[in-house]
Amino acid sequence: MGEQIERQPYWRWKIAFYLFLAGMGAGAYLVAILVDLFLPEAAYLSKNGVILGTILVILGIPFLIIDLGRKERFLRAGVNPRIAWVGRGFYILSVFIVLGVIHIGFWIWPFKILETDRALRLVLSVVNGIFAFGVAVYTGLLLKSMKSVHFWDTPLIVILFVISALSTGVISLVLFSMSHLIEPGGEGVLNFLLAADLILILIECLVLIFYLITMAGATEASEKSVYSLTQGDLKLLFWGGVILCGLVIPFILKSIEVFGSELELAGFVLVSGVLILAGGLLLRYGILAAGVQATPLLPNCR
Amino acid sequence: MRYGMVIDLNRCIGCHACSIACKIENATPPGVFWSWVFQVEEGKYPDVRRSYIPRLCMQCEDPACIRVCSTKATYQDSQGLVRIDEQKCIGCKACILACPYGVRSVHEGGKYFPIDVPWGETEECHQGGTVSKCTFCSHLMGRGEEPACVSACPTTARHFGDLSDPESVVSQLIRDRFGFQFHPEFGLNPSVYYLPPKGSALGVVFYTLQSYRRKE
Repeated sequence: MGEQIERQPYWRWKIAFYLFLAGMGAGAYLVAILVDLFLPEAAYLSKNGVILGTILVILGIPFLIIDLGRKERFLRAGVNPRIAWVGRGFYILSVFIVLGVIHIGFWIWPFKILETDRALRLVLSVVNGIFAFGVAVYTGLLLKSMKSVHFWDTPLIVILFVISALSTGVISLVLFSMSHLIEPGGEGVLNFLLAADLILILIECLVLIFYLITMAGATEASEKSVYSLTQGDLKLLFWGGVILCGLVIPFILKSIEVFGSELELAGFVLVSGVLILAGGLLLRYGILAAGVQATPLLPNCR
Repeated sequence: MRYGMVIDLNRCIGCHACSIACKIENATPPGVFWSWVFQVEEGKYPDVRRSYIPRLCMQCEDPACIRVCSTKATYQDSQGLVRIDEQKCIGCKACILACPYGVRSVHEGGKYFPIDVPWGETEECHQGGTVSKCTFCSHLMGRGEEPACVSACPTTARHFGDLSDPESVVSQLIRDRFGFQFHPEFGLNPSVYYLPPKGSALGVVFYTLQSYRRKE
Protein backbone atom coordinates (compact mmCIF):
# COMPACT_ATOMS: atom_id res chain seq x y z
CA MET A 1 0.00 0.00 0.00
CA GLY A 2 1.23 3.42 -0.88
CA GLU A 3 3.89 2.10 -3.17
CA GLN A 4 3.93 1.04 -6.76
CA ILE A 5 5.90 -2.18 -6.71
CA GLU A 6 6.89 -3.69 -10.03
CA ARG A 7 9.72 -5.92 -11.15
CA GLN A 8 12.04 -3.94 -13.37
CA PRO A 9 11.71 -5.01 -17.04
CA TYR A 10 14.75 -3.11 -18.30
CA TRP A 11 17.77 -5.26 -17.52
CA ARG A 12 17.16 -8.97 -18.13
CA TRP A 13 18.87 -11.80 -20.09
CA LYS A 14 21.26 -9.66 -22.08
CA ILE A 15 22.63 -7.91 -19.01
CA ALA A 16 22.66 -11.25 -17.13
CA PHE A 17 24.89 -12.73 -19.85
CA TYR A 18 27.09 -9.62 -19.79
CA LEU A 19 27.56 -9.69 -16.01
CA PHE A 20 28.07 -13.47 -16.06
CA LEU A 21 30.70 -13.47 -18.83
CA ALA A 22 32.54 -10.42 -17.43
CA GLY A 23 32.58 -11.94 -13.93
CA MET A 24 33.64 -15.38 -15.13
CA GLY A 25 36.39 -13.92 -17.33
CA ALA A 26 37.73 -11.81 -14.50
CA GLY A 27 37.63 -14.84 -12.19
CA ALA A 28 39.47 -17.07 -14.69
CA TYR A 29 42.13 -14.40 -15.19
CA LEU A 30 42.61 -13.93 -11.43
CA VAL A 31 43.01 -17.67 -10.94
CA ALA A 32 45.49 -17.77 -13.82
CA ILE A 33 47.76 -15.13 -12.32
CA LEU A 34 47.52 -16.77 -8.86
CA VAL A 35 48.65 -20.02 -10.47
CA ASP A 36 51.47 -18.16 -12.23
CA LEU A 37 52.55 -16.59 -8.93
CA PHE A 38 52.42 -19.61 -6.67
CA LEU A 39 52.42 -22.65 -8.96
CA PRO A 40 54.77 -21.72 -11.84
CA GLU A 41 55.25 -25.34 -12.89
CA ALA A 42 51.63 -25.43 -14.15
CA ALA A 43 52.35 -22.82 -16.80
CA TYR A 44 49.84 -24.31 -19.26
CA LEU A 45 47.12 -23.52 -16.72
CA SER A 46 48.01 -19.87 -16.27
CA LYS A 47 48.43 -19.43 -20.04
CA ASN A 48 45.00 -20.98 -20.63
CA GLY A 49 43.51 -18.76 -17.94
CA VAL A 50 44.92 -15.55 -19.37
CA ILE A 51 43.56 -16.44 -22.81
CA LEU A 52 40.21 -17.63 -21.48
CA GLY A 53 39.70 -14.68 -19.13
CA THR A 54 40.41 -12.06 -21.76
CA ILE A 55 38.23 -13.78 -24.35
CA LEU A 56 35.28 -14.20 -21.96
CA VAL A 57 35.29 -10.51 -21.00
CA ILE A 58 35.46 -9.55 -24.69
CA LEU A 59 32.55 -11.92 -25.42
CA GLY A 60 30.44 -10.21 -22.75
CA ILE A 61 30.59 -6.77 -24.33
CA PRO A 62 28.30 -7.49 -27.33
CA PHE A 63 25.58 -8.46 -24.83
CA LEU A 64 25.80 -5.02 -23.21
CA ILE A 65 25.73 -3.29 -26.58
CA ILE A 66 22.66 -5.14 -27.89
CA ASP A 67 20.81 -4.12 -24.72
CA LEU A 68 21.29 -0.41 -25.49
CA GLY A 69 18.46 1.57 -27.04
CA ARG A 70 20.88 3.27 -29.46
CA LYS A 71 23.52 0.62 -30.14
CA GLU A 72 25.51 2.71 -32.62
CA ARG A 73 26.33 5.24 -29.88
CA PHE A 74 27.87 2.72 -27.45
CA LEU A 75 31.22 4.54 -27.37
CA ARG A 76 29.48 7.43 -25.61
CA ALA A 77 29.23 5.17 -22.52
CA GLY A 78 32.75 6.33 -21.67
CA VAL A 79 31.94 10.04 -21.54
CA ASN A 80 31.23 10.34 -17.82
CA PRO A 81 33.34 7.85 -15.84
CA ARG A 82 33.78 10.29 -12.98
CA ILE A 83 30.49 9.38 -11.26
CA ALA A 84 28.56 6.84 -13.33
CA TRP A 85 29.30 3.13 -12.95
CA VAL A 86 28.36 2.32 -16.55
CA GLY A 87 31.11 4.75 -17.57
CA ARG A 88 33.60 3.50 -14.98
CA GLY A 89 32.97 -0.06 -16.16
CA PHE A 90 33.64 1.04 -19.73
CA TYR A 91 37.19 2.01 -18.75
CA ILE A 92 37.83 -0.85 -16.33
CA LEU A 93 36.84 -3.37 -19.02
CA SER A 94 38.77 -1.51 -21.73
CA VAL A 95 42.01 -1.40 -19.73
CA PHE A 96 41.59 -5.04 -18.69
CA ILE A 97 41.09 -6.17 -22.27
CA VAL A 98 44.01 -4.11 -23.63
CA LEU A 99 46.39 -5.37 -20.91
CA GLY A 100 45.01 -8.90 -21.35
CA VAL A 101 45.72 -8.81 -25.09
CA ILE A 102 49.23 -7.45 -24.37
CA HIS A 103 49.68 -10.26 -21.85
CA ILE A 104 48.69 -12.86 -24.47
CA GLY A 105 50.60 -11.15 -27.28
CA PHE A 106 53.92 -10.97 -25.47
CA TRP A 107 53.74 -14.24 -23.54
CA ILE A 108 51.96 -16.82 -25.65
CA TRP A 109 51.53 -15.68 -29.23
CA PRO A 110 53.03 -14.15 -31.41
CA PHE A 111 55.88 -12.91 -29.18
CA LYS A 112 57.40 -14.79 -26.25
CA ILE A 113 59.30 -12.01 -24.50
CA LEU A 114 57.48 -12.53 -21.18
CA GLU A 115 58.24 -16.25 -21.23
CA THR A 116 61.86 -15.59 -20.28
CA ASP A 117 61.37 -12.34 -18.35
CA ARG A 118 59.31 -13.64 -15.44
CA ALA A 119 59.62 -10.47 -13.34
CA LEU A 120 58.11 -8.29 -16.06
CA ARG A 121 55.36 -10.85 -16.59
CA LEU A 122 54.46 -10.84 -12.92
CA VAL A 123 54.33 -7.04 -12.83
CA LEU A 124 51.92 -7.07 -15.77
CA SER A 125 49.94 -9.89 -14.14
CA VAL A 126 49.54 -8.05 -10.86
CA VAL A 127 48.59 -4.75 -12.52
CA ASN A 128 46.01 -6.41 -14.74
CA GLY A 129 44.96 -8.60 -11.83
CA ILE A 130 43.83 -5.41 -10.09
CA PHE A 131 41.75 -4.56 -13.15
CA ALA A 132 40.38 -8.11 -13.30
CA PHE A 133 39.30 -7.76 -9.69
CA GLY A 134 37.86 -4.37 -10.67
CA VAL A 135 35.77 -6.02 -13.39
CA ALA A 136 34.35 -8.54 -10.90
CA VAL A 137 33.62 -5.82 -8.31
CA TYR A 138 32.13 -3.55 -10.98
CA THR A 139 29.49 -6.13 -11.97
CA GLY A 140 28.13 -5.86 -8.44
CA LEU A 141 28.61 -2.12 -7.96
CA LEU A 142 26.77 -1.42 -11.22
CA LEU A 143 23.64 -2.94 -9.73
CA LYS A 144 24.27 -1.48 -6.30
CA SER A 145 24.23 2.06 -7.73
CA MET A 146 20.63 1.66 -8.99
CA LYS A 147 18.93 3.14 -5.98
CA SER A 148 15.29 2.57 -6.89
CA VAL A 149 15.84 -1.19 -6.71
CA HIS A 150 16.25 -1.90 -3.00
CA PHE A 151 17.11 -5.56 -3.62
CA TRP A 152 20.41 -4.50 -5.22
CA ASP A 153 21.24 -1.72 -2.81
CA THR A 154 23.62 -3.61 -0.52
CA PRO A 155 27.37 -4.34 -0.46
CA LEU A 156 26.46 -8.04 -0.13
CA ILE A 157 25.58 -8.15 -3.83
CA VAL A 158 29.16 -7.07 -4.62
CA ILE A 159 30.60 -9.81 -2.40
CA LEU A 160 28.22 -12.38 -3.90
CA PHE A 161 29.13 -11.44 -7.46
CA VAL A 162 32.88 -11.47 -6.74
CA ILE A 163 32.71 -14.93 -5.17
CA SER A 164 30.51 -16.21 -7.97
CA ALA A 165 32.99 -14.73 -10.47
CA LEU A 166 35.81 -16.67 -8.80
CA SER A 167 33.91 -19.96 -8.57
CA THR A 168 32.75 -19.79 -12.21
CA GLY A 169 36.24 -18.61 -13.18
CA VAL A 170 37.94 -21.61 -11.55
CA ILE A 171 35.57 -24.10 -13.10
CA SER A 172 35.67 -22.53 -16.57
CA LEU A 173 39.46 -22.73 -16.41
CA VAL A 174 39.25 -26.39 -15.35
CA LEU A 175 36.91 -27.17 -18.25
CA PHE A 176 39.10 -25.21 -20.68
CA SER A 177 42.26 -27.05 -19.57
CA MET A 178 40.62 -30.47 -19.23
CA SER A 179 42.82 -32.19 -21.82
CA HIS A 180 45.93 -31.17 -19.86
CA LEU A 181 44.53 -31.82 -16.41
CA ILE A 182 43.44 -35.42 -16.94
CA GLU A 183 46.88 -36.37 -18.19
CA PRO A 184 49.19 -38.05 -15.67
CA GLY A 185 50.72 -35.43 -13.41
CA GLY A 186 47.82 -33.04 -13.73
CA GLU A 187 45.71 -34.72 -11.08
CA GLY A 188 47.32 -32.90 -8.17
CA VAL A 189 46.58 -29.50 -9.70
CA LEU A 190 43.10 -30.61 -10.73
CA ASN A 191 42.26 -31.78 -7.22
CA PHE A 192 43.63 -28.55 -5.78
CA LEU A 193 41.48 -26.43 -8.10
CA LEU A 194 38.40 -28.57 -7.39
CA ALA A 195 38.95 -28.25 -3.65
CA ALA A 196 39.32 -24.49 -4.01
CA ASP A 197 36.08 -24.35 -5.98
CA LEU A 198 34.38 -26.48 -3.34
CA ILE A 199 35.31 -23.90 -0.71
CA LEU A 200 34.22 -21.02 -2.95
CA ILE A 201 30.84 -22.66 -3.52
CA LEU A 202 30.41 -23.14 0.20
CA ILE A 203 31.17 -19.45 0.83
CA GLU A 204 28.87 -18.47 -2.04
CA CYS A 205 26.05 -20.47 -0.45
CA LEU A 206 26.55 -18.74 2.89
CA VAL A 207 26.73 -15.26 1.32
CA LEU A 208 23.61 -15.97 -0.74
CA ILE A 209 21.68 -17.08 2.34
CA PHE A 210 22.89 -14.07 4.30
CA TYR A 211 22.00 -11.77 1.38
CA LEU A 212 18.46 -13.12 1.08
CA ILE A 213 17.84 -13.00 4.83
CA THR A 214 19.09 -9.41 5.01
CA MET A 215 16.98 -8.36 2.04
CA ALA A 216 13.87 -10.13 3.34
CA GLY A 217 13.96 -7.79 6.31
CA ALA A 218 15.15 -4.58 4.65
CA THR A 219 12.22 -2.90 2.89
CA GLU A 220 8.82 -3.85 1.51
CA ALA A 221 10.21 -3.84 -2.02
CA SER A 222 13.26 -5.99 -1.25
CA GLU A 223 11.03 -8.41 0.65
CA LYS A 224 8.92 -8.76 -2.52
CA SER A 225 12.13 -9.48 -4.43
CA VAL A 226 13.11 -12.26 -2.03
CA TYR A 227 9.56 -13.61 -2.16
CA SER A 228 9.46 -13.78 -5.96
CA LEU A 229 12.83 -15.58 -5.96
CA THR A 230 12.09 -18.12 -3.25
CA GLN A 231 8.32 -18.59 -3.48
CA GLY A 232 7.04 -16.60 -6.44
CA ASP A 233 7.29 -17.20 -10.16
CA LEU A 234 11.09 -17.37 -10.10
CA LYS A 235 11.16 -20.20 -7.56
CA LEU A 236 11.80 -22.94 -10.13
CA LEU A 237 14.71 -20.98 -11.58
CA PHE A 238 16.05 -20.20 -8.12
CA TRP A 239 15.68 -23.52 -6.29
CA GLY A 240 16.12 -25.74 -9.34
CA GLY A 241 18.69 -23.69 -11.25
CA VAL A 242 20.72 -21.61 -8.83
CA ILE A 243 20.58 -23.76 -5.69
CA LEU A 244 20.23 -27.35 -6.92
CA CYS A 245 22.10 -27.25 -10.25
CA GLY A 246 24.49 -24.43 -9.44
CA LEU A 247 25.44 -25.20 -5.86
CA VAL A 248 24.13 -28.45 -4.33
CA ILE A 249 24.69 -31.05 -7.08
CA PRO A 250 28.18 -29.72 -7.97
CA PHE A 251 29.00 -29.71 -4.28
CA ILE A 252 28.01 -33.36 -3.91
CA LEU A 253 29.77 -34.32 -7.16
CA LYS A 254 32.89 -32.46 -6.12
CA SER A 255 32.98 -34.02 -2.70
CA ILE A 256 33.13 -37.35 -4.51
CA GLU A 257 35.79 -36.00 -6.90
CA VAL A 258 38.01 -34.59 -4.23
CA PHE A 259 37.79 -37.31 -1.67
CA GLY A 260 37.41 -40.36 -3.88
CA SER A 261 39.49 -39.74 -6.97
CA GLU A 262 39.31 -43.33 -8.21
CA LEU A 263 35.91 -42.58 -9.84
CA GLU A 264 35.50 -41.54 -13.47
CA LEU A 265 37.00 -38.10 -12.96
CA ALA A 266 36.58 -36.35 -16.29
CA GLY A 267 32.88 -37.11 -16.50
CA PHE A 268 32.21 -35.81 -13.02
CA VAL A 269 34.19 -32.64 -13.60
CA LEU A 270 32.43 -32.02 -16.89
CA VAL A 271 28.93 -32.45 -15.44
CA SER A 272 29.51 -30.40 -12.32
CA GLY A 273 31.40 -27.75 -14.29
CA VAL A 274 28.56 -27.19 -16.72
CA LEU A 275 26.09 -27.12 -13.83
CA ILE A 276 28.13 -24.50 -11.96
CA LEU A 277 28.32 -22.29 -15.04
CA ALA A 278 24.57 -22.60 -15.60
CA GLY A 279 24.01 -21.77 -11.93
CA GLY A 280 26.20 -18.67 -12.19
CA LEU A 281 24.23 -17.39 -15.17
CA LEU A 282 20.88 -18.13 -13.54
CA LEU A 283 22.03 -16.39 -10.34
CA ARG A 284 22.64 -13.21 -12.33
CA TYR A 285 19.36 -13.50 -14.17
CA GLY A 286 17.41 -14.29 -10.99
CA ILE A 287 18.80 -11.27 -9.17
CA LEU A 288 18.10 -9.01 -12.16
CA ALA A 289 14.59 -10.34 -12.76
CA ALA A 290 13.67 -10.20 -9.06
CA GLY A 291 14.77 -6.56 -8.84
CA VAL A 292 11.63 -4.81 -7.70
CA GLN A 293 11.46 -1.12 -8.47
CA ALA A 294 9.66 0.71 -5.70
CA THR A 295 8.16 4.09 -6.47
CA PRO A 296 6.04 5.66 -3.75
CA LEU A 297 2.51 6.61 -4.76
CA LEU A 298 1.53 8.60 -1.70
CA PRO A 299 3.38 11.43 -0.04
CA ASN A 300 4.30 10.83 3.58
CA CYS A 301 2.53 13.85 5.04
CA ARG A 302 -0.31 11.91 6.65
CA MET B 1 16.56 31.08 -10.91
CA ARG B 2 15.01 27.77 -10.01
CA TYR B 3 11.75 26.83 -11.65
CA GLY B 4 9.32 24.92 -9.50
CA MET B 5 5.75 23.70 -9.39
CA VAL B 6 3.21 23.59 -6.60
CA ILE B 7 0.32 21.12 -6.81
CA ASP B 8 -2.68 21.62 -4.53
CA LEU B 9 -3.87 18.15 -3.55
CA ASN B 10 -7.14 19.64 -2.29
CA ARG B 11 -8.05 20.92 -5.70
CA CYS B 12 -7.02 17.98 -7.86
CA ILE B 13 -10.08 16.03 -9.02
CA GLY B 14 -8.16 13.40 -10.98
CA CYS B 15 -9.52 14.44 -14.39
CA HIS B 16 -6.24 13.78 -16.27
CA ALA B 17 -6.49 17.06 -18.20
CA CYS B 18 -2.79 17.55 -17.33
CA SER B 19 -1.85 14.10 -18.65
CA ILE B 20 -3.59 14.79 -21.98
CA ALA B 21 -2.37 18.38 -22.26
CA CYS B 22 1.18 17.11 -21.74
CA LYS B 23 0.72 14.45 -24.39
CA ILE B 24 -0.57 16.99 -26.91
CA GLU B 25 2.01 19.66 -26.14
CA ASN B 26 5.02 17.37 -26.12
CA ALA B 27 3.75 14.85 -28.68
CA THR B 28 5.08 11.97 -26.61
CA PRO B 29 5.07 8.55 -28.30
CA PRO B 30 2.36 5.95 -27.54
CA GLY B 31 2.65 4.49 -24.06
CA VAL B 32 4.81 7.35 -22.76
CA PHE B 33 3.34 9.68 -20.16
CA TRP B 34 5.50 12.44 -18.77
CA SER B 35 2.63 13.61 -16.59
CA TRP B 36 0.24 11.24 -14.84
CA VAL B 37 -2.33 11.21 -12.03
CA PHE B 38 -2.22 8.26 -9.66
CA GLN B 39 -5.41 7.25 -7.87
CA VAL B 40 -4.93 5.64 -4.50
CA GLU B 41 -7.60 4.23 -2.22
CA GLU B 42 -6.81 4.39 1.45
CA GLY B 43 -8.35 3.11 4.65
CA LYS B 44 -10.91 0.40 5.35
CA TYR B 45 -14.67 0.48 4.87
CA PRO B 46 -16.50 2.59 6.00
CA ASP B 47 -13.59 4.98 6.49
CA VAL B 48 -12.26 5.08 2.95
CA ARG B 49 -10.88 7.91 0.91
CA ARG B 50 -9.56 8.19 -2.60
CA SER B 51 -6.54 10.38 -3.21
CA TYR B 52 -5.33 11.80 -6.49
CA ILE B 53 -1.62 12.35 -6.76
CA PRO B 54 -0.49 14.14 -9.92
CA ARG B 55 3.06 13.14 -10.76
CA LEU B 56 5.73 14.40 -13.11
CA CYS B 57 9.49 14.72 -13.08
CA MET B 58 10.40 16.30 -9.76
CA GLN B 59 13.26 18.29 -11.36
CA CYS B 60 15.43 17.51 -8.34
CA GLU B 61 18.17 19.90 -7.35
CA ASP B 62 20.47 16.93 -6.70
CA PRO B 63 19.14 14.34 -9.16
CA ALA B 64 19.83 10.61 -8.81
CA CYS B 65 19.59 10.20 -12.59
CA ILE B 66 22.56 12.46 -13.33
CA ARG B 67 24.77 10.42 -11.00
CA VAL B 68 24.33 7.26 -13.08
CA CYS B 69 24.29 8.81 -16.57
CA SER B 70 27.50 7.66 -18.25
CA THR B 71 27.00 9.77 -21.39
CA LYS B 72 26.21 13.20 -19.89
CA ALA B 73 22.97 13.05 -21.89
CA THR B 74 21.15 13.92 -18.66
CA TYR B 75 22.23 17.33 -17.45
CA GLN B 76 21.02 20.26 -15.40
CA ASP B 77 20.52 23.55 -17.22
CA SER B 78 21.07 27.06 -15.85
CA GLN B 79 17.46 27.24 -14.64
CA GLY B 80 17.82 24.16 -12.48
CA LEU B 81 15.90 21.92 -14.88
CA VAL B 82 16.97 18.32 -15.41
CA ARG B 83 17.09 17.78 -19.16
CA ILE B 84 17.94 14.91 -21.50
CA ASP B 85 19.87 15.44 -24.72
CA GLU B 86 18.31 12.80 -26.96
CA GLN B 87 21.23 13.08 -29.36
CA LYS B 88 23.58 11.82 -26.65
CA CYS B 89 21.47 9.19 -24.86
CA ILE B 90 22.53 5.60 -25.60
CA GLY B 91 19.51 4.04 -23.92
CA CYS B 92 21.36 2.07 -21.21
CA LYS B 93 18.35 2.57 -18.91
CA ALA B 94 20.48 3.08 -15.78
CA CYS B 95 18.68 6.37 -15.02
CA ILE B 96 15.29 4.63 -15.07
CA LEU B 97 16.57 2.20 -12.45
CA ALA B 98 18.12 4.99 -10.38
CA CYS B 99 15.19 7.43 -10.23
CA PRO B 100 13.22 6.75 -7.03
CA TYR B 101 10.21 8.66 -8.37
CA GLY B 102 9.81 6.43 -11.43
CA VAL B 103 9.25 9.28 -13.88
CA ARG B 104 11.53 8.16 -16.67
CA SER B 105 10.64 5.87 -19.54
CA VAL B 106 12.35 4.43 -22.56
CA HIS B 107 10.42 4.36 -25.82
CA GLU B 108 10.84 2.94 -29.28
CA GLY B 109 9.73 6.20 -30.87
CA GLY B 110 6.42 4.91 -32.33
CA LYS B 111 3.80 7.25 -33.67
CA TYR B 112 0.04 7.43 -33.31
CA PHE B 113 -0.66 7.93 -37.00
CA PRO B 114 0.63 5.91 -39.95
CA ILE B 115 1.34 9.08 -41.93
CA ASP B 116 3.46 12.01 -40.79
CA VAL B 117 1.06 14.46 -39.23
CA PRO B 118 2.69 17.74 -38.26
CA TRP B 119 2.13 17.79 -34.55
CA GLY B 120 3.79 19.92 -31.95
CA GLU B 121 7.20 21.48 -32.10
CA THR B 122 8.94 18.84 -30.00
CA GLU B 123 7.85 15.69 -31.82
CA GLU B 124 10.99 15.36 -33.91
CA CYS B 125 12.99 15.19 -30.68
CA HIS B 126 11.61 11.80 -29.67
CA GLN B 127 14.33 9.51 -30.89
CA GLY B 128 13.61 5.80 -30.65
CA GLY B 129 15.62 3.87 -28.07
CA THR B 130 16.29 6.84 -25.85
CA VAL B 131 15.01 7.73 -22.40
CA SER B 132 12.62 10.65 -21.97
CA LYS B 133 10.80 12.52 -19.23
CA CYS B 134 9.03 15.78 -18.40
CA THR B 135 10.94 18.98 -19.26
CA PHE B 136 8.62 21.44 -17.46
CA CYS B 137 7.73 22.42 -21.07
CA SER B 138 11.00 24.30 -21.33
CA HIS B 139 10.22 25.21 -24.97
CA LEU B 140 7.22 27.23 -23.72
CA MET B 141 9.20 28.95 -20.97
CA GLY B 142 11.22 30.94 -23.49
CA ARG B 143 7.98 32.52 -24.66
CA GLY B 144 6.92 33.30 -21.10
CA GLU B 145 4.19 30.66 -21.11
CA GLU B 146 3.44 28.19 -18.33
CA PRO B 147 3.84 24.42 -18.77
CA ALA B 148 0.92 22.77 -20.60
CA CYS B 149 -0.26 20.86 -17.53
CA VAL B 150 -0.48 24.08 -15.51
CA SER B 151 -2.53 26.03 -18.04
CA ALA B 152 -4.77 23.01 -18.76
CA CYS B 153 -5.74 22.32 -15.13
CA PRO B 154 -9.47 23.18 -14.81
CA THR B 155 -9.31 23.52 -11.03
CA THR B 156 -6.06 25.58 -10.98
CA ALA B 157 -4.49 22.97 -8.78
CA ARG B 158 -1.10 23.62 -10.37
CA HIS B 159 1.03 26.70 -9.96
CA PHE B 160 4.33 27.42 -11.64
CA GLY B 161 7.06 29.93 -10.87
CA ASP B 162 10.50 30.71 -9.51
CA LEU B 163 11.30 28.99 -6.22
CA SER B 164 14.35 31.20 -5.56
CA ASP B 165 12.18 34.33 -5.55
CA PRO B 166 10.52 34.54 -2.10
CA GLU B 167 7.73 36.74 -3.48
CA SER B 168 6.66 34.39 -6.28
CA VAL B 169 3.28 32.67 -6.06
CA VAL B 170 4.88 29.27 -5.62
CA SER B 171 7.15 30.41 -2.80
CA GLN B 172 4.24 32.09 -1.02
CA LEU B 173 2.03 29.02 -1.37
CA ILE B 174 4.75 26.73 -0.02
CA ARG B 175 5.35 29.09 2.91
CA ASP B 176 1.73 29.84 3.80
CA ARG B 177 0.13 26.49 3.20
CA PHE B 178 2.68 23.99 4.46
CA GLY B 179 3.91 22.98 1.03
CA PHE B 180 5.94 19.79 1.16
CA GLN B 181 8.14 17.79 -1.16
CA PHE B 182 7.29 14.26 -2.26
CA HIS B 183 9.39 11.96 -0.09
CA PRO B 184 12.14 14.44 0.84
CA GLU B 185 13.92 11.59 2.67
CA PHE B 186 15.38 10.48 -0.68
CA GLY B 187 17.60 13.54 -0.25
CA LEU B 188 17.25 14.80 -3.83
CA ASN B 189 15.50 18.12 -3.06
CA PRO B 190 12.69 18.07 -5.67
CA SER B 191 11.43 21.31 -7.23
CA VAL B 192 7.83 20.04 -7.22
CA TYR B 193 5.92 20.81 -4.03
CA TYR B 194 2.51 19.61 -2.91
CA LEU B 195 -0.05 21.38 -0.72
CA PRO B 196 -1.48 18.99 1.87
CA PRO B 197 -5.06 17.75 1.48
CA LYS B 198 -7.60 18.32 4.25
CA GLY B 199 -7.46 14.77 5.53
CA SER B 200 -3.72 14.80 6.17
CA ALA B 201 -2.06 15.79 9.42
CA LEU B 202 -0.54 18.92 7.87
CA GLY B 203 -3.86 19.74 6.23
CA VAL B 204 -5.71 19.45 9.55
CA VAL B 205 -3.26 21.91 11.13
CA PHE B 206 -3.61 24.34 8.21
CA TYR B 207 -7.41 24.30 8.01
CA THR B 208 -7.84 24.55 11.79
CA LEU B 209 -5.57 27.58 11.83
CA GLN B 210 -7.46 29.07 8.89
CA SER B 211 -10.91 28.67 10.48
CA TYR B 212 -9.50 30.03 13.74
CA ARG B 213 -8.23 33.13 11.91
CA ARG B 214 -11.64 33.62 10.23
CA LYS B 215 -13.44 33.58 13.59
CA GLU B 216 -11.21 36.37 14.79
